[in-house]
Amino acid sequence: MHDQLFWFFSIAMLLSGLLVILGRNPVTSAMFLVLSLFFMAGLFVLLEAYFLAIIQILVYAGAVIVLFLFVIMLLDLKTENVRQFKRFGVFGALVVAGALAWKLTSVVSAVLAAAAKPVVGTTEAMGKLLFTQYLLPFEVTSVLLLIAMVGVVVLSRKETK
Amino acid sequence: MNFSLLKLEMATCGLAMLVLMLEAFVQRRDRRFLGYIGAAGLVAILAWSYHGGFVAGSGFDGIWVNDLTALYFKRLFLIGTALVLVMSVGFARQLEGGVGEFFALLMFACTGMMLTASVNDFLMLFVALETVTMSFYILVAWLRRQQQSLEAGVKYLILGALSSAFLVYGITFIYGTTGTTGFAGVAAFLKANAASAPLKIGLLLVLAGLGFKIASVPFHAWVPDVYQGAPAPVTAFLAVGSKAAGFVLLLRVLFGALLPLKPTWVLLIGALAGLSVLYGNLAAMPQRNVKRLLGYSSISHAGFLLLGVAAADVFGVSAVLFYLFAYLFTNLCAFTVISCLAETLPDDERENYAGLAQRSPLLAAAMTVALASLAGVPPMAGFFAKFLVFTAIISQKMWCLTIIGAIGVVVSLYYYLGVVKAMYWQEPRETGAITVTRPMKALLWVTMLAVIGIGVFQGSLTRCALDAAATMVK
Repeated sequence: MHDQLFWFFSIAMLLSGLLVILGRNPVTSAMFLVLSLFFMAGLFVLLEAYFLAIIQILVYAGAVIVLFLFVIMLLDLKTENVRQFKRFGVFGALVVAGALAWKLTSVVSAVLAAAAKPVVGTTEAMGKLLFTQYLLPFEVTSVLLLIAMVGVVVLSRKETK
Repeated sequence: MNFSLLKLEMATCGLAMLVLMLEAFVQRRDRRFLGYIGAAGLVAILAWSYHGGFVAGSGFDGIWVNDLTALYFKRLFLIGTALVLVMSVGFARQLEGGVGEFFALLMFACTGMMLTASVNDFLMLFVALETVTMSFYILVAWLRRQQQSLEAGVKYLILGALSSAFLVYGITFIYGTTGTTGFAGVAAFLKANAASAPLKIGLLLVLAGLGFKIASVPFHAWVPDVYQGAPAPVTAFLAVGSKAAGFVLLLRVLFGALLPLKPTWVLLIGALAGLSVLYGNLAAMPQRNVKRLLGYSSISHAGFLLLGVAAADVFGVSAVLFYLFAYLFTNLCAFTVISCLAETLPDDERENYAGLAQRSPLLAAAMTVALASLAGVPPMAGFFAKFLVFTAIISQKMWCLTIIGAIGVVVSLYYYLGVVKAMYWQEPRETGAITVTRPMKALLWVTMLAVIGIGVFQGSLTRCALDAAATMVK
């Protein structure tokens, strides 16, 4: 059961991820991104990382994507035109993607053999880690958010003379 | 939880927040002076680092380490940011709207850079690096009414996000195989086990993410456009601060986590170094825009710095540390000149620099000193920095890299001296003296004297660099 669910979630996630970048309509892409994030939350549940699974849905699927949709709506984007590809660009992209895929196949087979140690992903365990071992990065993140906030205000405010 | 290890960072971050708050209470025309408050505060923190502000040791479950290398870089960042703040005050008239936020963001970026100096854990590496990069996303796009600045901002944001994605992806592989994010843990794992394919690809992806920050080939695509489009003080900060932060992280990763894999990464770093030197210098030759030229020059300097890393011994690392200090003053000198000219000249094309010596002898002299140092002409700081790098790679018998480096130096003379030629031996398009404001004048003298001073009296800085390098390379 566990294995079947894993394969179902992964394949569904990858498929909806592909549809995000293949779609020409930004709204459709955003909706497929929601779907992809939902399936990823399913993977987190399988890993017993319940807290992350809920955060994934609440924050990403809930808040971030809604923000995306708002921006798309406000910008009033038209369906994207078919792009002109440069031949050299396509060639370079294929070479890099091919090399990465080739290396990744060896990685995937090796990862299946290696067993990561089981972690319990409850809210309590996460909270403990954040406030003990990873306290410093956690605190620095607040500075990071402050910077982002200042940046949004500065870059989006009206010009006053 | 020993928070006294973080005294300098907390002070810098607090100073940034103070400036941010003061902005609300200060009259619009007086806001420029917030830059001086920031610079004075940073100098005070720098002085404090000599008297009790810096506590050596490690803490936070080994994710934070305060050693001599960390101290060296923290001082470098403090000095660099203070000088950039003064430069921004001189540039303030062209910054639209809130200059207070501009100063605050410079200091937040400085906080992030000081954090990178002590990083000893991949998670902390990511957070510290994002703090720096996030500030730069905003700073680069600051002149949002100008198309070039906006374009630079968008390009930097997208490519920066891509490189961060590589970095995080790499970190997940490392955590997945070793079960730890700490550098010490990864090094211990590598000592006990052979590096498996997932671990190798993880480390490769992390190096790609860091390669973006230091602007080395093949992760350099953003450099020319961003350097050209960003406001001059931001470009200067990007060249000296962001690059140095990238290098301290690279050194920490290579000599902390990856020491057991040294034979492999020496080849990798050597290849990147050679490519960066060749590409940066050759691509700089046809450039006519001075800021863009300095962008390509920045790629080539990343290459020279990587040559020192590739030497992978105490002398190589100390050469890198010395180089970064020399590069800091040299670049700030050059960009101060560009900032001064930004108001008078229509753009940064080389033709506009023609006859600069007649219009403002001081600016022309400063630019000449800076370019001579970048090219590595004695007795400038840049000469001694290159000398140290070449000594290190020659002592490692890396002949191929030595030859590539020598070719780079010779080629670079051509395009640096092209600008000098325009300034002194061509007739100006327009006449009329260019006035330089007092803070800019002071900044020009300080950086110029520092460039020459470091070049002539290299002893004490070399010793500091050697001591710092010795704590990292055991």
